[in-house]
Amino acid sequence: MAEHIVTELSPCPVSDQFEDIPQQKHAATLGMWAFLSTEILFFGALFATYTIYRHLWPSGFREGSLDLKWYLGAINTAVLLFSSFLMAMAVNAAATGSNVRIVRYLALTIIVGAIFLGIKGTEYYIEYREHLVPGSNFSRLKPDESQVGPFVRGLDKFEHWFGKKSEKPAERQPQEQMFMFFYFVMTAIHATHMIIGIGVMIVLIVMAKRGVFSPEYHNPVEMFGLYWHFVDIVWVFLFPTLYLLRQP
Amino acid sequence: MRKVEEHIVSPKIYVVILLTLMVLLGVTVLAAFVDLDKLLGHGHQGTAYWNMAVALLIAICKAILIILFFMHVKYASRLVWAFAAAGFVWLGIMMTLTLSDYFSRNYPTASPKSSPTWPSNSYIGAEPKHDPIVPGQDPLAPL
Repeated sequence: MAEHIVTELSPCPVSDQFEDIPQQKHAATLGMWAFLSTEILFFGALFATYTIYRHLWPSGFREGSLDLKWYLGAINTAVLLFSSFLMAMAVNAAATGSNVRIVRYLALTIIVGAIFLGIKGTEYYIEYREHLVPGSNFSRLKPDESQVGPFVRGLDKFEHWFGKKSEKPAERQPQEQMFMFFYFVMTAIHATHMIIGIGVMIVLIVMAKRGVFSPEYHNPVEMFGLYWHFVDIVWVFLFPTLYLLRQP
Repeated sequence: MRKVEEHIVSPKIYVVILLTLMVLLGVTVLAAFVDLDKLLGHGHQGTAYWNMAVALLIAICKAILIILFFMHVKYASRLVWAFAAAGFVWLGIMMTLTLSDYFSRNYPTASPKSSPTWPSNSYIGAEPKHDPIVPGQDPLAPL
């Protein structure tokens, strides 16, 4: 009797317009990829514009990149790759029909994603203290130690201890501001995608807690996985294009 | 027609892919600290030509690993392959056509006096730096 009630409450795995589960899943996958194609072109336009300006002002872009903390970017890349792995494990849990494991892995994905956003926010703070925010406090003169605050000073010391800091001129090129525009716009749009993703994951956790997903029907988890991995791919390209322009 | 079966990828594969991605991340960082242009003897006026090529190549490898395994495209139908490829193909068209225009704009024109003036210098407020054109040394310079 109890089982009967549960089947009444849970949604029918196959919607009316589909013949069976494989067809429904196929349609959902195609739809998600069509959406991701629009996202590819959305970020692609930003990358194309970035390339045009970098071609125009190679040295300004290089010096801008040297002003970023490459190690924070590298740590963030590792963090995001790991969160992608956790998402893949959540999809695996969904395919094997364990709602408990879905909740666990999605919660871990949210935590790791939040760590990424935290590091990103710290970087924004550092860039604010170093007067790198374009249009608001960008300064052609590099702020000296007394101006950047104790946190950034500590990081600089760490950098010195870690290895020779690459020699940078005390004055910034005006073209570096353009690089910082690209840096902020691209990373902020990427972070927005992650914040939206975390919101969707909270909804998925609520659904999983209600026991909605089964080995037959777990399209929401699987399709959201595609989105999360796509956001990861965007960062995989953002990291070398923004942080690693170290060679003359 | 309908042979789309549920293919459950084992967590072992995910772990292997994750480790490969981390190794590739390490390689990208290491490669960025080596002047590959000097090493491979092909550079053009401080463009970090080879560094860019290597960084992009590694990023593409990482993206392919994520798409094939994390996003399950490897186990999906041909139609999903086509949908997944479509966005990247169109991105390639956009990049190629746009960049082939912009990359050919700043080439020296017939008169040696005329300097590249796109975009207008008032844009940012300072003269963009351009390498001086030395006749005979720059292969693109007019004779």
